Amino acid sequence: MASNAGVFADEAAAALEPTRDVGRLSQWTLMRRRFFENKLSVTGGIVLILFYLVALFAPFITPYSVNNLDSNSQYAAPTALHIINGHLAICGVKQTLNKSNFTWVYTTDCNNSYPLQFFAPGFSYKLLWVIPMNIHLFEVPKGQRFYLWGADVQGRDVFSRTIMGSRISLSIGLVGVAISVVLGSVLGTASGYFGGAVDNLIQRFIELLMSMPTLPLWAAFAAALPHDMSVTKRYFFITIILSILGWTGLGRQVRGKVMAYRTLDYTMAARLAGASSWRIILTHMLPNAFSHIIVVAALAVPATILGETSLSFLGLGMLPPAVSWGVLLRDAQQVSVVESHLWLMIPAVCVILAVTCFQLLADGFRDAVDPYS
Amino acid sequence: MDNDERHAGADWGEAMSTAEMTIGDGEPLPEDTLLAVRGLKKHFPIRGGLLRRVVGSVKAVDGIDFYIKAGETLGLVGESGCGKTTAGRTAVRLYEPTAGEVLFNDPQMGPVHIEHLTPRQLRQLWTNIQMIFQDPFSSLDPRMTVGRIVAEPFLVHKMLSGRALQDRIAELLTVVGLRPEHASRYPHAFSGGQRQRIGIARALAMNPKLVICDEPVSALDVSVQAQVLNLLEDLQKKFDLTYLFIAHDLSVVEHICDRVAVMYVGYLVEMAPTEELYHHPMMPYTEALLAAIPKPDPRRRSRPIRLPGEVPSPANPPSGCYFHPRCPYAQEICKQERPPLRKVAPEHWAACHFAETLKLQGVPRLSQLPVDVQAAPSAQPSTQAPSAP
Amino acid sequence: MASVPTASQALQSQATADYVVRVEDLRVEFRTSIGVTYALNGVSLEIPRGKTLGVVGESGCGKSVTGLAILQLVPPPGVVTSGTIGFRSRESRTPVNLLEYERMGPEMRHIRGKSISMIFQEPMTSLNPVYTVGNQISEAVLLHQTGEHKEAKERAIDILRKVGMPNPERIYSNYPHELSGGMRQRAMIAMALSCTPDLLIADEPTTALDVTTEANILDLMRELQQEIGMSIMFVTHNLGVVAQMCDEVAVMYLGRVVEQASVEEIFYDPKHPYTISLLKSIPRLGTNRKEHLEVIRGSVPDPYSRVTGCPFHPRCPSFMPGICDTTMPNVVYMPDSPQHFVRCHLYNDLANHQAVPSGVSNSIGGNGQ
Repeated sequence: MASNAGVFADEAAAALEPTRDVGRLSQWTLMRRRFFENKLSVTGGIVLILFYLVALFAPFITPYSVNNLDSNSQYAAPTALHIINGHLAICGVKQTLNKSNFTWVYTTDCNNSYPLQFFAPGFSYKLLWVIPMNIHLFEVPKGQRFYLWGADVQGRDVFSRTIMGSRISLSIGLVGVAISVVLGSVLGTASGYFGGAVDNLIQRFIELLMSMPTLPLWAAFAAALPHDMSVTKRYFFITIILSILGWTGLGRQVRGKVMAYRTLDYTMAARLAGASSWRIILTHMLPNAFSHIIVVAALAVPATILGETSLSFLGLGMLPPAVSWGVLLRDAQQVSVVESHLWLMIPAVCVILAVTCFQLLADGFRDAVDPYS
Repeated sequence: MDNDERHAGADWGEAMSTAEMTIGDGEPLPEDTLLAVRGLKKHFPIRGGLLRRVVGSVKAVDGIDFYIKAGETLGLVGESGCGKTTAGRTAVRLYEPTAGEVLFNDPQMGPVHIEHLTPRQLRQLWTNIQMIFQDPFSSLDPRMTVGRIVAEPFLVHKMLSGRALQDRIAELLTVVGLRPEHASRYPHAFSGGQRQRIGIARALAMNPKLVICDEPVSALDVSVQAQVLNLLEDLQKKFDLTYLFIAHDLSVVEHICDRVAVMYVGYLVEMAPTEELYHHPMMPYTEALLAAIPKPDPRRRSRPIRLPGEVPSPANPPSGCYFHPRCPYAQEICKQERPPLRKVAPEHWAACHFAETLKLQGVPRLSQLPVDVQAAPSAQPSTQAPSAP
Repeated sequence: MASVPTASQALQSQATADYVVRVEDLRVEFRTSIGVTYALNGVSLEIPRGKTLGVVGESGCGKSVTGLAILQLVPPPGVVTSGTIGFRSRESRTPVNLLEYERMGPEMRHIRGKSISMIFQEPMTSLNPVYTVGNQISEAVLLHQTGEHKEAKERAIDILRKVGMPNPERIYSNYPHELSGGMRQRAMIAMALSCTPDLLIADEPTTALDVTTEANILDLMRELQQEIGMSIMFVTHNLGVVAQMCDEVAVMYLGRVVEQASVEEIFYDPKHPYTISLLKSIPRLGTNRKEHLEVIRGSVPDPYSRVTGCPFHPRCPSFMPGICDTTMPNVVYMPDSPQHFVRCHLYNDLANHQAVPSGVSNSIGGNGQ
């Protein structure tokens, strides 16, 4: 240990440890690994991917367009599927009028069976809003009606309407939360990093927004929208309304994180390295806060989906002729209707399923990001 | 980085000649001073009430004077909450000082008053002042590879890139005892000691003059602590570094420091060369602190003066000399008048009314210890472990 | 090699002194999703009655887990996989194996409340923030000593006075957060000592404290030990504190006791290369100023990896290739001091000269699972 070089060489050897391969993995890779260990969340994620795929290819999957009326099929019960001669098929249905109480009575007649035709032509649509097509996943021969999940009061196919409705319901969650994330991150970061008066102002504003009951406020905003808006415009405004209140929680979380990072020594080291506030925020704080933002966002999506559903259910959100799960559930507002036509509740099942899956997914994210909380 | 801006600071020589900058009760600074601090204060506001108005302040650092000579290690010691970390950070303006002057003899900019620099000049200055942190976990950004962490100053100042940058990173990692290929790994793969080495590599990146070591070994295991202390000593020799070594472990401080300054509740109470301070303390608090160190010698079990009570809060300090409620030698004057830091011997400053009259006890030198203690293998650094039979 | 006694045989044969707790071949694993970590790999040690055993080692050596395991408080996913923990209370000197008791059963709860107490580095972990200090102490007194509320309060104030609280009546009605760090530590010690335990397990009790406060707390613990006559298991990494505080010292490395001896022998005649290196690596007042400290190469390996042979061999200055990296060394007793044992191949010669243990046994119950 006489010469300096000797010391360094010696200590170089000393400092070396058999570092395991985890050292080469970024935090993201480690988080991904932890996430995939959580089977429940992965299942939730897979179900959600299916949901979104269905929403994306909705017109292809649905046999009928959403406003395909059939006065002969009011409240038609779900059509039973049978396997006849090795094919999926439906039985013919005969409609008779019960003259004693004037209700339609449907009787199935399996002697006349109609096999389902897969990839058969039906109504025209544009696949992914671009490719004109008329091929559908399945169709039944002309003249027959196939209601997988029954029909509503006007004889419209609940299956087709639920699938098409998922487009608005599922997308509004993502878009709404995306707006919340932008608002929340920017305001939260500003609040946490600069502190002082800026922080005070933003935090009091958040408290003000948070202290208001959400649903009435949403309803008030939504009620102010004119009824004759186009579907697209209405969608846009409803999304904004939902995210105006949605960013507050996220803003607080980001602020808390940024405040914590601000006191950490690596921020101090970055300042000593000469980094400006912007640089510190962009290269140190946001990347570190990002995983938390994702978690909070994933938890906020179901709330937004529920928000849209509630507003539409109350007739303040999306309005017919647009279809969303909330709009569909308006049909199930009366207990008497639901009692005899249980299939009208199917959109509610979809809402529950989607919201549950999002929560499972968000739980998985959270555990992966911060296994010790 | 043009020359004008580099020399924009105040003139060091002038400051010296006009005796604008003195220390303690008016002593001039030594010739080779690198950093000098006078009357430095840092008060943190206490906010309360609905409008978060300032209702008081924690006087974390309340007017301290010290200087560091080029190439030396000054230890800044004290118990938790005494303000030593705040003092270190305020001196280089990582925290905005409430009051006080700080002179730094910058090799490029010349002598500058740190408290007057613009943010841009300050960033330039910090290439010459770096810091090593206590917590090896929070001091490295977990999202960045080791190479990226060490490269940060070069990227910020746009000084190196590509091949040259890679080479410099490899060089720095080698200097601190890591391997160049570690650059592609993430901090979580490293042990506490290795992480501390990464932090040291980052601090050395821009060839600083002054390195503030804020409790650099107190979070480390005993065996690793020795490695890092040796490394710091080697680097000091190799790169001609000056250290401000902030620590609470007095054994470590004695080992590594040339001079030591003791803080108590926001004040500097004593400053002297290490030997002098440890063997002839002139302030009762220093004496008590030295007596309290648990010595790793079962035969040196002593039960000397024990301080009653605890360190007062800097938000609500006692009157007079802050140490008087615990001081075994306190007199009436100690309750009323706060003693200033004054020169009591060459290079020895103390803040005590009775510094000269009290005959305070320090730590005995090894040669003064009983022979059987000296004989302990642990007291002889160079003996080898038993060899194989 | 065949004549070398196993750890537990040796311990049984050598143990002549009175002990409070004797741990034999204790193994603890933590089964996490990433893998199994072996926290304790066969710890054997003895805590002498009325004395202080220091347990020293670096982070990850299992010193804290040993303390927790004695009280069956190893947090999940940790499990005790084998070993015995013999406990002899003051009253009945017949040893019982604590591991045979149900973790949360009535016997174990009784032991934890009355016979063995534990204090921690951070007092807030054992003080409940919503009750006053006095409440918590008198609660413990009520549970295990007296049913009288008034008497319990008096006892609590008495204990607070004993631990050096300046104003025990006031402190009695203070909440833990109103006390300073040192005061909280005193409050926790008061609580731990409220029922005059046989053994106090102190897990780094002064590590978070300032030196002056630390000195006071150590003083206090020494005084109370003499008064109550209890044993202390003092878990720490600070060799200075060990030298000042302990009678016996067990040095741990990677889940094993590598050397145990009296404090004099550990500091002035250490045998294990790890102990020697550890002692040399600390800066000592008044000695090796500005010299290079001796270092132990590398750092403690991460707990997931397993080292063959002696776990210290990759860092050992006296490493003997072919022996140390293949065979786990056995416990060897020093011929001239029967309580001093070391786990190192350097002393294999001594072991061979030793008499084969005669199988003297004051053995304690079977292997608990």
